[in-house]
Amino acid sequence: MEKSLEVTAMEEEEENHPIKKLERYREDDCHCDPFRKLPDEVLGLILLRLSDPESLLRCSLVSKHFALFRSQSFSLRLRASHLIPWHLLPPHQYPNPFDTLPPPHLIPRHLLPPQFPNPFNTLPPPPPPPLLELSMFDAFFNATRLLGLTKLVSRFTSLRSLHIQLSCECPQLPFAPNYRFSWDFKVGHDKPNTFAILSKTSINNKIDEVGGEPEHSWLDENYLNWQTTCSVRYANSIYPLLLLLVPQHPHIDSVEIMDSEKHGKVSLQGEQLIKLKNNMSKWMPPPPNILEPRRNSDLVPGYFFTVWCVPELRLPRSGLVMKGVTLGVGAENMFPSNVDDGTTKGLANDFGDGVFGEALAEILTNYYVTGRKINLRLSSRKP
Amino acid sequence: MASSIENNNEKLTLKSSDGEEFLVEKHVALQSTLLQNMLDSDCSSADVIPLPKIDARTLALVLGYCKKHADASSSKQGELNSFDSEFLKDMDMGALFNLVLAANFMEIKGLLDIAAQKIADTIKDKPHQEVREIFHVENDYTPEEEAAVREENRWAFEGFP
Repeated sequence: MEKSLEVTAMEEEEENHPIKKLERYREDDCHCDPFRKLPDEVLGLILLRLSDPESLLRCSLVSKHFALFRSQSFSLRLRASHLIPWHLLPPHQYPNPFDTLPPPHLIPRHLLPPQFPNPFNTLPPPPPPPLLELSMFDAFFNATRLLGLTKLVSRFTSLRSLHIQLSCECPQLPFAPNYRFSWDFKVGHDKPNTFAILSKTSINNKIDEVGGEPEHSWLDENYLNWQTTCSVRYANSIYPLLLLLVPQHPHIDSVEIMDSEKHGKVSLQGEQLIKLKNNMSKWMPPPPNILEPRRNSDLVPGYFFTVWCVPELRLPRSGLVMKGVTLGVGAENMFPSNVDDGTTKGLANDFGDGVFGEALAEILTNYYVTGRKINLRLSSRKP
Repeated sequence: MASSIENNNEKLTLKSSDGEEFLVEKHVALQSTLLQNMLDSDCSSADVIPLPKIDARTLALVLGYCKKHADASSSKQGELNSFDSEFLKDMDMGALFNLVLAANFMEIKGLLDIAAQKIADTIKDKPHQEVREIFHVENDYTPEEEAAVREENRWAFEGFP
């Protein structure tokens, strides 16, 4: 009798042990937040599938434990709606390329608006490329939105991967949906502060069948104009995004940017991303106090951008023909077209041996002067 | 060939945390990486494999999932997909969390994926009050703290629809 009482007492004591009590509380109380029971890896799987910033931030209002999800989330997906839609762009700051009829090279030079210098007049020796100092940046990225985006992403402190979707919409395109802006964007390997965006109407391998002079219609010319616009726009979305978001997140090891139609994709991983980060930290200002309103152009270092257009581009090595090609090359310090020929052409090697690299090399070798369309300086800050 | 049929007919006994025993065909059990590893390393010489973290109700669900996926041929992907979506459809949150824990413990990737997706979908696009109700989460914020979090999020959402 005595013995059994002792056992009961011992059991009771054990049952009241704080850890036991805690365990019981965790297991029995159905009003306890079930997420507390999940091991980290399972919670991670759920958050990976959530990964949209609105839902994750809304979670932080649920409870203090839910508020931790923000710092436990490794992956974030930003939808196209997070970036300014095309139709909100003020038209006076970014003219519709189809407002200028007939195509620029047929317009007497003195009637050309300064935005569209006649590319065919720049025969050797090339004059200094025309410089456009539009407040493009303000036009593309509404200040509030860009700040909002940076702030939003800064709330997620353990990010390892970032997926960003850019909008494909372009209501100014008159011949949609047969023509779509398709693009490929690469950041330099050895010089991460250079990047190139290449777009084309079509690509095929009928190099032998295509003969004679390339056909060049009014429509093609306008299409190239539109593509130029889109190139600038995309480069001007992608590069600032990388600059703003990547350096603030030391754990990021994968960045993917694609358009909503999944035509083009920027994919940065591993060593290239590390180089980009290191390079950025050299000339990025100390971590900006993102609560403090700033001018857009202060947020992003100045960069220079040159666009080349080639109606038909033959690639002998891969046996391909690309139509309606635009190439935009951006660099940190000066116009890619201002550097001596050797340096600019050397750039091509930096973008790989694939079709992209070959197209880039072909344009810089054979269309360096004739294909050059426009020079832009984006952001007013002196680099 | 003969040996594979023989293997398919082998059975295992799994024991839930509340002591119920389940007789499972080996090819069904192989859906679980945990059981597969145990079988490979011959740890299963014991007659009964205890699963101390999984109750009978959850284990029955898990085995139902495994059986369906083990029996279906790869050509019936569409059928499997609709099975998966039906499988979790009206499940209560308690059962769903038990299931996700069991799938994680038994390393059944497909089940873990759909259960995690289901939980994520439940949180997505819901106001925070509703999330609290669904998961029985107590609001541990003081009104002042809640206002502060709200304010913090307000600036994070600035400029967003």
